Amino acid sequence: MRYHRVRSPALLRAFGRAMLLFWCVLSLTFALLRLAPGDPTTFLIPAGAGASDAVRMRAELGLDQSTGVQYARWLGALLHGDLGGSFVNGRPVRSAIGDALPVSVALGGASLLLSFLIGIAAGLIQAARRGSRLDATLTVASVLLAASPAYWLGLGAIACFTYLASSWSLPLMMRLPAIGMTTPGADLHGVAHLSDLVRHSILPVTLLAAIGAGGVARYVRTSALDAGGTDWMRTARAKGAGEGRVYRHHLLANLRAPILTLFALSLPGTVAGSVFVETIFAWPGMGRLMVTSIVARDYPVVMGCAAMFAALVIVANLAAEALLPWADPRVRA
Amino acid sequence: MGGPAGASVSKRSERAALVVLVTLATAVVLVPALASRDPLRIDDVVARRLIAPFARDLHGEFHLLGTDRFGRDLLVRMMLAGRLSLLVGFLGSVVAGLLGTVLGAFAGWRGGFVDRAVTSAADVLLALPRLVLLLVGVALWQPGFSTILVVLALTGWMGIARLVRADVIAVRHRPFVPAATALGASSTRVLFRHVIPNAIGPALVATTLGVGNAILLESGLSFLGLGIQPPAPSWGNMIAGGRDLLVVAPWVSLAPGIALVVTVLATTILGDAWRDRLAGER
Repeated sequence: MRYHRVRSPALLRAFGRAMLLFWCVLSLTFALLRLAPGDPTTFLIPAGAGASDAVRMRAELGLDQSTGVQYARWLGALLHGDLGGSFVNGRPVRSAIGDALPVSVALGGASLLLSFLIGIAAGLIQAARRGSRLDATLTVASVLLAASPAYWLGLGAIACFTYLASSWSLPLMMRLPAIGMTTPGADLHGVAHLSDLVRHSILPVTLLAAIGAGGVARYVRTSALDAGGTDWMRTARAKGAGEGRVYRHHLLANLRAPILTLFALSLPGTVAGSVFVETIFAWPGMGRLMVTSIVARDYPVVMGCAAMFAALVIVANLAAEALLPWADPRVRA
Repeated sequence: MGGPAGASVSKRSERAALVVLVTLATAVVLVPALASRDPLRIDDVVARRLIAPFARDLHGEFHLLGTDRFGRDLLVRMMLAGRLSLLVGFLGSVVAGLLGTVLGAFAGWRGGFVDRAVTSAADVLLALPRLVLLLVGVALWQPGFSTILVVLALTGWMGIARLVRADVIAVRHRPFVPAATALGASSTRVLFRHVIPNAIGPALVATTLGVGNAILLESGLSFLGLGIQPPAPSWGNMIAGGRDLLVVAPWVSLAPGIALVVTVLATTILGDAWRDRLAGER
């Protein structure tokens, strides 16, 4: 009962810290982008436009104001949930992100879930069969995956499952589409639409999941082996509990907290992976939006994306902190 | 993270990793220097382009790894790219490691305001995924070698600073610190001569492990067109250059990718081996 009274202010304080952190990150991004030498209008203005057009454009985008005024305006708009409009096409940043975010969340969420399921299972099996050939093979595979660039693996997957599969004229079901989320131009509905989407997801999701699973498996293996030598594991075995019960009840309960922490820490990594995977497979998600708007110097969109990524990291850390007492009752004290 | 029970690295793979890195570093210096032709020059494209590995072009020149779409020898270009990648990876993480060590050490040693400033700066930078920070960073300046180096250093110090800070705080209360102070050593001298040497191990390991990460990030930025700019070769932009040749000439993307994987693997194995040794000493 007592910890409830203690914990809530602690959580509140953590929330306050998180908001402060969020504001700092956004201000930093703002400052960095305004520090950039060169004027975005030089990239945006069509060739042949005169100096007066440039002046008008700067005024339209609010770039003629001092940095302080720009910052105040931007912050004020942000507090109203307004992220501004794209420099390039005038589209509200909120709707651009609104289109891209679900794509990334679906891609990242599905692969993160898969990577933890596969990674935990693989890590536990490796720890249980330590030193076996299976353990060695899985270790080599996870180390290789960690050392390989995601975009390179993606190109390899496309070469094998799209191009080679079609040149060997494999049945259509075994050839996987390389680009986009759906077949362009195909007006599909219901189940047909869903299966089209699933076929397009197989390569990117499997790739991201495999890369993530490698890291998770290595972490789980190490944690499980560390726990393997502890007194409570020996006690559990001495009581006569079978290996299955020892693993399910004692080991997993003790791995819950480290795995939760790893999950929160993995979210930014998923973002990084999705930048490359979205670029390779031409998925219109946040990573691709960020890259294209950076190339185009579309600062409001870059700011909006950075804000979303920062919010993701901060919320994940906050959630991990809030859930830690559930995962590890010892920290409740 | 991994204690003694973690995936320990055998002596043999550690030695193999070292041999690979030394060989690569030598080849990267020697091969372009000994090349018969300027690796960036493009001439007689029709006779030389997209020659498969282990084949000769129409001029009778042998190409161990084949040629790209402009008829440039891939082995020479790979080694030229390797110079950049190894240099960026090594310098980027060493500068980040130094920055992290100094900042973390001062934070842990001085405490108070310095500590709060360093810790919050690290918190703010860690609240964005490193790749996003890198992307915003390269948006600032013209993409290129020095930009990547600066941005890698400025986004890579936080983890190491946290490690060193924790270790300095732990070392601060060991008996040899007040002993050195009592003997009349200044605070800065105690920090640099007595505290940092006792807290530097994990930072060295993290820096080594950071090399592979830095190489991967550089190649990724170059792949996206935001890093090393063609015609200067980098493993990342070479892979990008072979992207639409996956069917016709898969070797164009395959070779630089293998070079990347082997290099990153070797640095990771070395870092892991040193971590194991450090864990054994403690």
